[in-house]
Amino acid sequence: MSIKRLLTLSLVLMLLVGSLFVMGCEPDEPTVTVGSKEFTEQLILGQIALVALEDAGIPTEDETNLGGTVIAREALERGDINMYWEYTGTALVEFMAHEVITDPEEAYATISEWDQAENDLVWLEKTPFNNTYTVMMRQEDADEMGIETISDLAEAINEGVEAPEPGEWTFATDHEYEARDDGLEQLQVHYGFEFESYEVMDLGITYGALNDGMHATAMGFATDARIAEFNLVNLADDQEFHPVYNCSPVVRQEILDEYPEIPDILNPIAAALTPEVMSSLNMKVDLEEELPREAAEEWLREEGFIE
Amino acid sequence: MLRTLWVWIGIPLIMIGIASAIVIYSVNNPPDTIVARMLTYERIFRVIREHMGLLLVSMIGATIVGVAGGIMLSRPSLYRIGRVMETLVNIGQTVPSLAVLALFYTILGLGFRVAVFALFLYSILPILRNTFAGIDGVEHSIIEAARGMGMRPLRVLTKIELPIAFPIIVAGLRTAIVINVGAATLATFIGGGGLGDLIVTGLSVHRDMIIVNGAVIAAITAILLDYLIGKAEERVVRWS
Repeated sequence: MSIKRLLTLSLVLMLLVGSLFVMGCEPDEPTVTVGSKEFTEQLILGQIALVALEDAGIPTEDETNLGGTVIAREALERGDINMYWEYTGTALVEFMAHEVITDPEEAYATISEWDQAENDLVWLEKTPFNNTYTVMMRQEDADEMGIETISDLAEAINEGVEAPEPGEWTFATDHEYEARDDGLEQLQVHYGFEFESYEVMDLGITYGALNDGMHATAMGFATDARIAEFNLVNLADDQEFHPVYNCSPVVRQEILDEYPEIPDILNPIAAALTPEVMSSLNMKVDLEEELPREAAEEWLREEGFIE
Repeated sequence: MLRTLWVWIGIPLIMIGIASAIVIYSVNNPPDTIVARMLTYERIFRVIREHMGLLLVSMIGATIVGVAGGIMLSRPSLYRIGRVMETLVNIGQTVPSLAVLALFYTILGLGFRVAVFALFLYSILPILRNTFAGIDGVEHSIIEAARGMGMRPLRVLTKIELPIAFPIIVAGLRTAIVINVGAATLATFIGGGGLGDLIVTGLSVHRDMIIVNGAVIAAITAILLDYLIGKAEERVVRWS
């Protein structure tokens, strides 16, 4: 036997042994692979699920920060990941091709029934936070005037109540909200009022424009970190005008069959995620530069979900 | 006569006609409610008015300050500072206009006036630089000859230096105005309004028709103003 053939043979043998070794190392119990989309809130939610599952002794794998909605969803459908947090409104419109729903319960029921039946995907409990468009005021103005809902705001404007700084009922909006069908124009029609004027600007600066007193009210997204940072308040959308985007862990049925305790672990956690909690978690990561995992662990511990 | 009419009225009218045709078509044939909401005559006139406001106020200010500054810096007593300023201005020009707007937003806040101020500062640069370079480039022997004929420095400036530097100064103006039309579309990010409203909205809701309207009007404004200034310059040169 030539040296060359010997070498080839030993190489093949090594490969065989090596692959057997790797296969042997595969754990007997399946791992829960948790994915997420690429933005802060999603990274935190992914870590919350990971930390909670690990604490319960379930083997996990971190596949968070996958990219956009489509990538995360495809990974879940293929089984590359076993779960990630998805928003009811996004799933309804993008996956189910359903029209927009503005009632949180109805949206949740519709998408969870469909996904269970069609895709064997289970929507666990949804969060109370609803990351949709929001109309905001400064906390102290809202408290002073007793405004808690958009209806209250409409009433105050219609009754000619004196506006807070800058002294007029102005509104800061981004470009998209001004143009959308479920945006500024229809909001005013729906609630029956009109802002005295509004100014269009980049989305990132509406929060600051409100905080600095350049506008009396502004639009934003309900769980943005700056709402907590600037002490702003979301006015409740009491007449359900905006589409809803509550978030739920979406899990493959087969992994739930393996670990039937997962819902008991994640449901109470989802139920505790209010807009205030989510906004302050976002703030910790976006502004105070904590890692998503640190922020998640800290909060879970404070709330007593983990030891 | 016919040629003059064509140059001053015919060509501008054709350009305005192209823009109007696109606007009229879009306003009357919106494919959905979003486009219909964003493209109304009222809104389009408003953003054009805002854009012209941004442009004119900042350009008038920048022309006065830029030309005056350029002349001052080219005087012998300030000439050394002028050379330094020229370098600084060249560096300033490399800062993107969006960064200039963002910077002034953080210092001065929101709105039309902040946008005008940022555009004004940004437009000074090419005008100042060209004025300085134009006067600096005048042949020394010509100035010597003028002095030899007994001209006072002010007469040398108005009769010799400025007329010779004129095409270069105007080139600076044209550069500034073309940059300014483009940069003014960014004012929308800080609540300054203008044609950028249409472009950025169109981008954020994926409606090409809205983008095209904003972009075409902005492009034609830039081309038209550049063209008209160029023609006016020819006129002035021919007279003098």
